[in-house]
This record gives sequence, structure tokens and C-alpha cells, in this order.
Amino acid sequence: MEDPKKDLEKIINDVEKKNNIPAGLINKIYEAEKEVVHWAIRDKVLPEIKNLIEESSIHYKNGNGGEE
Amino acid sequence: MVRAKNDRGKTTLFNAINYALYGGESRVWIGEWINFYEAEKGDGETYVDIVFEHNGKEYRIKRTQNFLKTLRGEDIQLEPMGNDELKIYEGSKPVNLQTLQSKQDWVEQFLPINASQFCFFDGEMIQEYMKKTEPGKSPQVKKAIETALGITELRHAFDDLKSVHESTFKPREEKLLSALSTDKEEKKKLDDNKKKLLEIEETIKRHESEIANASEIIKKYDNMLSNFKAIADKVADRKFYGEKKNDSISNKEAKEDDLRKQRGSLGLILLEPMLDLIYNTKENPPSIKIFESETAKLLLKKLKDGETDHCICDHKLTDDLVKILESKQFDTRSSGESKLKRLVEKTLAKFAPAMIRNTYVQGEGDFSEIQQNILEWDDRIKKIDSEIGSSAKDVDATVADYNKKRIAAQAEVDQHNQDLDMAKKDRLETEAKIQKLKKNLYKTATVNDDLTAQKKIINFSESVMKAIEEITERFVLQRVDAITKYASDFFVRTTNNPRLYKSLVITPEFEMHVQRADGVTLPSYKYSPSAGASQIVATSLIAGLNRYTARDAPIVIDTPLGRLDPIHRRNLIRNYSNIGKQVLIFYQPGELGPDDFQYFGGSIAEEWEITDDPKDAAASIIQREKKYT
Repeated sequence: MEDPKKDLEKIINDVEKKNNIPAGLINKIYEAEKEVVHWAIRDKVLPEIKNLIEESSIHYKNGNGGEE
Repeated sequence: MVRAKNDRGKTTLFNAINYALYGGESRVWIGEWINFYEAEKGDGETYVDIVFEHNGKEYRIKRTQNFLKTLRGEDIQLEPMGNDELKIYEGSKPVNLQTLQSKQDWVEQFLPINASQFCFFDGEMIQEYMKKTEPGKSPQVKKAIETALGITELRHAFDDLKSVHESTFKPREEKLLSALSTDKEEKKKLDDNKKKLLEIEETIKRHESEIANASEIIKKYDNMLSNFKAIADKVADRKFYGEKKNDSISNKEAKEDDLRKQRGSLGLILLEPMLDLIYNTKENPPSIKIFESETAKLLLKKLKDGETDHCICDHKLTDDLVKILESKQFDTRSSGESKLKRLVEKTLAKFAPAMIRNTYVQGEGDFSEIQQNILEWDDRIKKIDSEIGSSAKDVDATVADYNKKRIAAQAEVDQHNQDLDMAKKDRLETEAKIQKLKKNLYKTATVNDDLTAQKKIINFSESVMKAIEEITERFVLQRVDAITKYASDFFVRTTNNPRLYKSLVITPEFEMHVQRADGVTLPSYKYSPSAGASQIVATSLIAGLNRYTARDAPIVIDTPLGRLDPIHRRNLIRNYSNIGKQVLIFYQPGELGPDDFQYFGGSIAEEWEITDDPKDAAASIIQREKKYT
């Protein structure tokens, strides 16, 4: 059998690199979503995503912090 | 390999695996699975206890359902209210989860219920899946495939990030901006547009909700109309059986008349043995001689009286013939016995009681069959009556009424869709205005660190959303490509006509097509040379999905080969080991014989058999027969 995780990881790494997104962030969001198997508890993942974005934005190179 | 004759518990075992994992959500109501012999004896519990290994760790799930004593033939009563109890263990340690839902979520981390349809399936039913791949027939199928492939998490990631972006990041930025800007007019405009945006969002929600409601109404009337189509068919059936019944009643009356007439001769049937006895009793002189003498006397008298000059056989009575007739005459004294015998001879010749008996017996048989037919037509009519209920009193008028309501609901959907389009355009324009106003505000605002940081978060969040969209698109295309290739190879290896079919084509929407060697491509729901061929297409897709699935689960197939022709069967057996890492096949001896095992090519791990328990008629025993190394 194929390892789907490897294929996805490769795409994620590639896209993260291209968009200057800190490596591993999207995989962390993906892993958080994997634990949410029922719609009723999906809200639980929102604070986690919020924190991940806020923490990682510090390292975001394209962010100009003001007017575009 | 699990072998079992019919009704030994093969499908029960299949259902048990589904029940252990998904409980009441799994297809069939649990009440139907409970052993009614046990329920008849008294209250009890039914449970499935399943142990499995995942990533080198052992897990155990025990799902229990209590039931109450139930009389045979009645629906088994469940306790409490049909809820089951779920216990889960990692190794021997119980997993501490409180609610049934949280436990169910724990189970579904291994294999969500909608993805399980690609792992646990009935070989004979799987071809029905092809009908579901028809565009618009079942969006659930696409969702299920995406769940199996791990795409759903990416879609959720995008939706959830967007939700955080809209509900947290953007309002926070706008609040800061508003506080820091000195341009009151622009601030007011921004506030007004934000209010307007909220109103537009409400309008969009309202239209979407109205569309959903009207769509439900359409669905309801579609169902009702399709029921009516079924009802109309039933009404036609009922009319047909009614006519049959009336015909039978007329036949019955005619047959009764016949039988009544025939009963007048029934005495002869009773007397038949005695008549036969008399008829067969020999006389001296024999009856034939007496008959000849009497006939000769009669003819000679008629000749003498000038009534005829011909014999009864139409020959002219010549002198020679007259001499023969004279030689046949002899004097007989009429006795009671001879008179009785003559009477019997005449009676048998005139009435033929054997024939009357045969005709009567046949008539009685026909009569009984007609009566049986009438009962049967009656039964069918009653059954249809109960199915139709009172709704068929005026089918045409009701159908017209439902159709009218359906058309009205459709018009409502169309109108709301138009309004929704307008609202969405309005939203885009308002959002653009807000963006512009925000830019203007930035010009007049005293930008501080907080605002800079917030703006950075907004930019970053948008960038991550875009990235997730791109990842999803690329991953879907890659999976579709890989699955198409694998499913196509599998299909060409298993079809009974590899010269006619070239490949399978799967779209990013997971609709499936069969491509013929001549280049013609048919949607899989239209490609159905036989149920067996559709089963092969469906199995090919499942093989492809399981090759690239994000869910590490065994494949369990109930009744895999029943409807397949010998070539399909042989090809499928050869390729079963390519469907998944572990494949459990529940089969009947009739669909997979010892000769077929050669095609597995050494890929069998274990063979099991389900047999009756000789000590308990209501139980089966599952035992391992062979284990291969």
C-alpha cells in the first residue's frame, strides 16, 4: 500500500515554502483536524487554529504590518 | 477466508463487526440482530466484543445492548430506549471517556463511519454503488471518498481557519483601526458598511435557509410523487388482480353448474364397480354370440318385412349373407341374469361412467384451483390495499395537487437563488468598500504595534488559507490520478472482456466512467452489461481507494462472488490480495470451491468455518481450520 501521509507532506512542504509559511504549520492544523471526527466537537479545534496562526505569524516574512 | 453455508451466521458476523464499531448508526436496527430464541426465554444482553491491532497497539471495543423478554414474532424490546453501552480499552487499560458520543468519536478516529462503506461491504450489493456515482445522486459519496482519502481534514482546516479569520482576526483589526483613526467621517462610513455587511450576511443566510426549506419541500413532494408513481403502479396492479378475480369468480360459477349437472350421474360412478363386474361376467353362450344371434334375428325380420335389404354395416344382404345370418341364430331363453347383463351393456355404452368419473374428478380439481386463485387474488388485493392505504382514492387529483405544490416550491427556490446571487454581489461590493475604507483609515490612523501585529496576522491568515486551498487542489488531483491508474489496472485485470474495455476514468468530483477500447467513454452508472460487471467496476474503485486511503483498515467482504461468471470470479480471486493489506472474505461453499483456491496464489493467511453448534440449535461455532505461514 502507498503511504498517503508522505505524499501530502511533500505537497504541504512545497506550498509552505513557496508562500513563506513557517514549515510544519499546516501539518499541525491538519493533525488537529484529524482528531476532530465528529462535527459536534469541531468548535474545539478553533482556539487551537487561532493560537497556531497568531504564534506563527510572528515568523511570517511577507507580513508588512500595515498598509499593503 | 471464512466459509459458512447459508443461515449459519456469516452475515451476522459481518453485521457484528459493523455493530461493534458503529452501533445503532450501522445500517440495520439492532433489534433485528438479537437472537429471538434468547429473547423468548427472558431479559438479557447481546454484545459484540472485538479486538484489533493498529500501528502495533492492541485495542478492544465491547458494545452491549440489553433487551427485554419478548414473545416470538414480536419486535424485540430494547433497554434502555435502544441506547447501547460502549467500553473501549487500549491494551487491557480502559479508555476513560464519559459520553457515548466521545467514545464513538474515539472509535471513528480509526475509521469514520462514512468511509467504512469502502472497507466493509456486501459483494452482491456493492454494484448498487455505481448508481450513486451519478452526478447529483449522492454528494455523500464524494464526502465519503474524501474522508477515506484524508481530504476532508484539509477542507475542514480551510473552513475553520476562515471562521477564525472572520470572527476573530478581522473584527479585532477593525476595532483597533476605529480607535486609532481620527477621520470620523470615514469611521462612520466603515461602521455603516459593516452594518450593511452584517445585514447582507443575514439576507444571504435567510435566502440559503429558504432555499434549503423549499428544497426539502421539493424533495418531500418528489418522494410523495415517486410514491404515487409506485401507488399508481399498485393501483394498476390492483385493477389487474381485481379483473383476474372477477374472471375467476365467473369461471367458478360456470364450473359449479357443470359439476351440479355431472352430480346427476354420480350414482353411476358409485355403481361403476358393480357394473364392471356384471359386464365382465362370462355367459354361456357368451354375450357376443347372444348379441350376434339377436342382431341376426332383427336383420332377418327387417328383410322379411321389407324394411331393409342392407346389413347394419351397409352391405347388401345377399343370399350368402342371409345364410350366414341364419346360421348365427339360436334360441335363447331370456333369464334375469341375461336381462341384467343386457341392461348393464346398454348403460355402459350410453353413459360411459369411467368418462363421467374422469370428467368429474377433473372438474373438481379445476374448481379447487379456481377457488385457490380467487383466494390468491384476494390476498394480493388486500396486500396492495394495505400498502396504498387511503391515499389512492383519487390518485390523479392528488398527483396533480402535489405536482402543483412542487412547482411552486421550485419557483420559490429559483426566486431565492436569484436574490441570493444579488446579495452575494452586494456582499462583494460592500467588502471591497470596507477594504477601501480601511485603507483610508490606515492613512489617518496613528499606527501602533498592536495594529501592525494584527494586520500581520490578517495577512498571514489569508496566506495560509490560500495555501490550504492550493494543497487541497493538488492533493485531490494527485489522488485522483493515482487512484484512476490503480483502479484501471485492477479493472482491466479483472474484467471478463479486457479487449473491449480500456480503462476507468475518475473525475475530481469522484464520478466514474468506463472507457471502451474504441474510445467511447460511458458514465459508470450507465455502464451495466450485467450486475457482475458493475460489481467488478465498483470493486476496482474500492481497490484504488484502499490503495491510497488515509485509513488503515481491513477489508471485509460478505458474499463476494455469488453473482459473478467464472471468468470474473477467477480474475477477482487472483486480485483480492491487491484490494487491501488484510482482506476478510465471508463466502458460501457454493461460490468458492476447493478448485478456486489455486487462484489465490498463496495469499491466504487463515481459513475459518462457521458451523451449527450441535448442542444449541440457536448458536453457531466459528473455528479456525487452517493457518498458513
